[in-house]
Amino acid sequence: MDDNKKRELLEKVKEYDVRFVRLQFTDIAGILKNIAIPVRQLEKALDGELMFDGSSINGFADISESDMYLVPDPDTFVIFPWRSSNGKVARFICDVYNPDGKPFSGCPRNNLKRVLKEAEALGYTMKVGPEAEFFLFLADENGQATTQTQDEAGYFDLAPLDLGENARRDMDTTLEEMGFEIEASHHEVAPSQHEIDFKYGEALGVADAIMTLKLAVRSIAQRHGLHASFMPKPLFGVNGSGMHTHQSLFADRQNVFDDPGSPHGLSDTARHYMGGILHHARGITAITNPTVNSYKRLVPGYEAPVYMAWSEQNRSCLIRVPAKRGLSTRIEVRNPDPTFNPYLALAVMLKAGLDGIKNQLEPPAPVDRDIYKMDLAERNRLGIESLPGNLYEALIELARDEVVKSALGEHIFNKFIEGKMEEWNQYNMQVTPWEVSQYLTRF
Amino acid sequence: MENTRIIIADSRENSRKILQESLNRCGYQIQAEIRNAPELLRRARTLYPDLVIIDANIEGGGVFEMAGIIQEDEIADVLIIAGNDSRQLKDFAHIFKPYTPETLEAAVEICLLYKARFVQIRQQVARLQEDMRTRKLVDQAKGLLMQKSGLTEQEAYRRLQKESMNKGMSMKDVARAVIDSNK
Repeated sequence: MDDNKKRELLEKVKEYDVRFVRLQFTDIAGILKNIAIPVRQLEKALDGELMFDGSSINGFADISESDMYLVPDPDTFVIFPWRSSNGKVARFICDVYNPDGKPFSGCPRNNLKRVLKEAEALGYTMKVGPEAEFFLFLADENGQATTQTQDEAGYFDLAPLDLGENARRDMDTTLEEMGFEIEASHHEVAPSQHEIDFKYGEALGVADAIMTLKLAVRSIAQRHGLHASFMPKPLFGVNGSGMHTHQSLFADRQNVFDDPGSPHGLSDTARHYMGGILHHARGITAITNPTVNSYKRLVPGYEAPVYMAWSEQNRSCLIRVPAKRGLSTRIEVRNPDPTFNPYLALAVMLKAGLDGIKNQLEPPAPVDRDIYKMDLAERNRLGIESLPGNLYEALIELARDEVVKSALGEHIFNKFIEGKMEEWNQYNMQVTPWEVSQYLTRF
Repeated sequence: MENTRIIIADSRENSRKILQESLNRCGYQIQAEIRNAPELLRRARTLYPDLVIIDANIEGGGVFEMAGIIQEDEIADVLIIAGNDSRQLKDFAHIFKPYTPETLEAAVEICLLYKARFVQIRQQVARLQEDMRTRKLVDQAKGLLMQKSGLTEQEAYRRLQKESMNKGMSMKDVARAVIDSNK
């Protein structure tokens, strides 16, 4: 890091009386990891000399290669607007490096940078705009999360304000203080479900921002006696939480998806990118929907996509093309959910799109009817396939798709499959209340 | 006193009762009785009490974290009732158990007194800040008038004043209008 930047950062932490600095990175499973250092160690950290034991992070490294370095990205410096008992806390998002000074291939952020470079070599910058949905539940008497919503809580004295709305307003202000440009923030379809959208930006920054948003939302919820959950389907029978991902490619500050002269106002590049996403959709799903619970959301009837098609209106499709054109021309991929690792999810979607451009993959004609209402024969006739039905099927599809695999790199692919197969097997061994209620007395 | 809104938060029924009775004896009404930390945060944020009295043994979250959040977000003042001493207690108003109703009453009154003074000072600071902002704008507008119309400082000021009276606008708005029209 250059000396001026370093001096500037060191002065800033002094000015704001920051006591601790959190060095953050995201593991393969998409969990934000923190190493807190006292401020006096910051200079050493900024020089990339701070070592940590990589083998302690699940799916990261084996014991034999455990020494790793965290290299903070100076552009990610933020002072958390909320205080902790230790005073002001600042953070950096870091890249993980091997002792030999090379980027560690198991670091999802490094990996996204690698795929973004492939796009750059073709002259493209990826722009992304996410829509984050989550539930606000009540925390119980032990401070633990519940799936109880405020509406069920039955307060005896009337609260003048909705607890959730109040908390979300606080989240918006906090995120704005952290540099977010909030575009929309509203109550969602299900009770106690909320959505916060921020302005689209370049892929790496947006992946960082998604991790930051999740942290901020959860921290603020806690300060309101609530628990924020990004679990895709916490309650049976109501809409789940997704992370619709709007995306477009730019070249020389121009949106290359836009072409007013073409059908639908979409350029060949946009059509082929979409063709690529649809072609690789079954392979991508394990990454964009990486938990057992993700597939409880991807069922017909709750505005979540199940079928691989695209449309300009229809929300039952995998891809929707919003009406805006010009600089805002984009596609909205609707299956991702907030349990995804944003670095990996953006890498695989971009790679699939680029593959579509490279091989000029054509998407089928748009489907403007509600696919939920079609039967199998009709879907077959129109060539509409389904997304994988569960995590296991998705993992098999991922292993089959060389393009998607190459977007992850060998290390991440292997560790991901290993960890997720274990998750699936654990789930598979469970005897669920549903089974008991169905079979216990019948047989 | 009867308008004072107090919330008490204590997980143990017995000590909550002692607290409630002591407060009642001093003539205070309790707005809500709370049993755990998350509920405290939820209720405090919707009831806007003047004072929150928290027992240090509150369950479901650390007392200092709760007290810190309530004070930082300026929801209410906090009084902690502690069983034993700790370093973090010094950041908050507190009394120790066992306490007499007189001790509690004194502590509550001091909290409320300081709260009233604090609100007064804060209002004063806000007024001063507003005055400072106005003066800055007026100075800038004066400078513009002196430069453009060749007025003396006094004349420029009088013109702003006159304009303010004629139009029924504040000095600040007049000054801002002058600055905007010269942009």
